[in-house]
Amino acid sequence: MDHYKSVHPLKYYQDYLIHDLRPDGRSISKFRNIAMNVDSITTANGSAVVRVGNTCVVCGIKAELGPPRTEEPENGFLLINVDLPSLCSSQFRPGPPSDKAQVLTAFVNNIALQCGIIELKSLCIQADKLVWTLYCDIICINYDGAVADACFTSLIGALLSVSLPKVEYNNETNVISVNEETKISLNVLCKPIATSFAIFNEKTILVDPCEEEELLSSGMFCIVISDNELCSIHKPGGNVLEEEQIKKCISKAKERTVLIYELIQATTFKQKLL
Amino acid sequence: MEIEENENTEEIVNTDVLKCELNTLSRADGSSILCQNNTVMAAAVYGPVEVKQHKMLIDKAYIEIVFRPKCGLSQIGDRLLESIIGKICENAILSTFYPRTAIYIIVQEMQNSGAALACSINAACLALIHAGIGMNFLFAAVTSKIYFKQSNFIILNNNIYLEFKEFTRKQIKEYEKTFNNNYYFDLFKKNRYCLFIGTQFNINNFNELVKIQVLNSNYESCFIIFSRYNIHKKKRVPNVNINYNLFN
Repeated sequence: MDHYKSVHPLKYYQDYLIHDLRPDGRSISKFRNIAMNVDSITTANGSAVVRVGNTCVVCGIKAELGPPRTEEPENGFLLINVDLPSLCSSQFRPGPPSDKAQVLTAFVNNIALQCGIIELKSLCIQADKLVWTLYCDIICINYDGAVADACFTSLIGALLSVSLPKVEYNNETNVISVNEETKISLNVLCKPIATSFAIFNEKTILVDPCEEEELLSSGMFCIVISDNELCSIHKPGGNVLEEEQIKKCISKAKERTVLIYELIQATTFKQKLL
Repeated sequence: MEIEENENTEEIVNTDVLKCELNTLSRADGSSILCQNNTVMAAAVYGPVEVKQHKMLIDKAYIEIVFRPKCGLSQIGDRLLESIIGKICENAILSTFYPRTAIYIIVQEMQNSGAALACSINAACLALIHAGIGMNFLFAAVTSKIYFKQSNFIILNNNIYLEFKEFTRKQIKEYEKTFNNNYYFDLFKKNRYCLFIGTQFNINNFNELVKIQVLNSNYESCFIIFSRYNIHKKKRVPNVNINYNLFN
C-alpha cells in the first residue's frame, strides 16, 4: 500500500475520496481537532500555542515602547510576522523566509489591518512621543496543512492574553515611568478566524486539508470570518467553483468559527482563574 | 462571433479610462502596457525558454512571476500579488504543452492609484496573448468597492465614485465600512474564479450581494476589457482565436 501511495499519490487519494473518506480516517467535510494553550511563554507579554491536528503554531507577542510615525502620531504599531522555518516541513529550506511565509505574513497583516483587530489609537501613551509597538511573531513548529487557521487562532489567543504595564509619560520632563504592578489588557475589537479548504478537483473540496492534500490539490482557498461577518474569501487560483459550493463552505466555516470562539473563551477564562 | 461595440458599452467606458498597448518591448516575447484609470502596469512575457536545472518540471512548464514595484526592492505585499497572479497564470496557461521549459512573466508597476492587482492581472493576460502562449482560457480581473449603510449598499468600481451621480463624495465617506473585492474570470467557460480582499460585511447579505450586484457590474467591466483584447487581436495577434459571444 505504501508503494502504491508513493508511485501514484493522486490515484491513491482518489480511491479514498470516492468513498467520502481520507487516508487519515476523516470524511471529506470533517475538521481536525483543535487544542489551544494560552500564556505558556512567561517571558512574552502574551502568547498562545495552537494545534490543529498535527499542525502546531506558537504566537508570542512582545511589547516595546517607541516613538510613533510623524504621519500618524496617535497610532501604535501592530506588526505580525509569520515564520515557517525549515524545522516545520521538508518544503522549506533554511535561509531567508520562503515565498509561502511572506505571502502568509502579508495576508495575515492585511486582514488584521482591514478588520481592525485592535484600535491602534489605544496603543498610544502620549501622542507624537510614545506609543506601544506589538511584535506578534507566529512560528510554525509542525507544518501539516491549514496553517492560516492556526495562525489566526493563535494570534487572537495571544492578543487576548497580552497584559501591558501601565506607563506614564511626563510631558515636561520627558520621563517615562513604568508601573509594573497595574496590568492593562488589550481591547480586542474583532476576532477574525480563517478556515482553509483544498480544491481537490471540481467536485471535491477538502475541508481542513493536511500537508499532503494541500500539495496534491489544484488550489487552496481560505475563508475568514469574524463575529458573523465575512472578512475575506481568499481564493487565488485552483479549479472553478460554483457559487453553491462557496456558500456551503461559508456555512461550514461559520460553524467552525463558533467552535473556535468557544475554545478561545474557555482557554482564556481558565487562564484567568489560575 | 465577435461582439460589436454598441452604445451601451461606450457609456461605461466613459466613466472608466482603459487604454492598452501591445508590443511595447522589442526584446520580450510578449509585452503590454495597460492603463486603468490612473493605474498603469507594464507586463512582459519571456517564454518558453530554457529552465534552470533545479527548477525543471518534467511534465509541464515552470512558471515564474516577478512583480516589480515603482521603486525600491519588492516587499512582502508584492509577494502576495505575485502569488495571486502566479496561481491564476498556472491555471490559465497550457503548461503541459511546454514541458522542461520556463515561462517568465514580469509585471512592472508604472503608476499606482488603486486596483493594482486587477490591473496587473489584466496586463499579464494581455502580454500572454501577445506572446502567443497556449492558454486554457483567458482571465480578467476587476476591483470594485462596496459601501454599506445598514442593509443598503452601493457598489462602485474603483475610482469611479468621484463621478458617481447619485451620491456625492461626502455622502460616500459616511459609509464607513468598505469592502474591496477583486474578481477574476475564466471567459471561455463563463465560470468565475473569485478572490475577495476586504473588511467585514454581513454574511446574510452575501447571497443577494454576490448574485445581483457584484457580478453584473463586474461582468460588464470584464466585458469591456475583453472587447479591448479583441481590438488588439485583430491588429497584432492573428494566431490567437478568441470566442467572445459568451456574454450573450
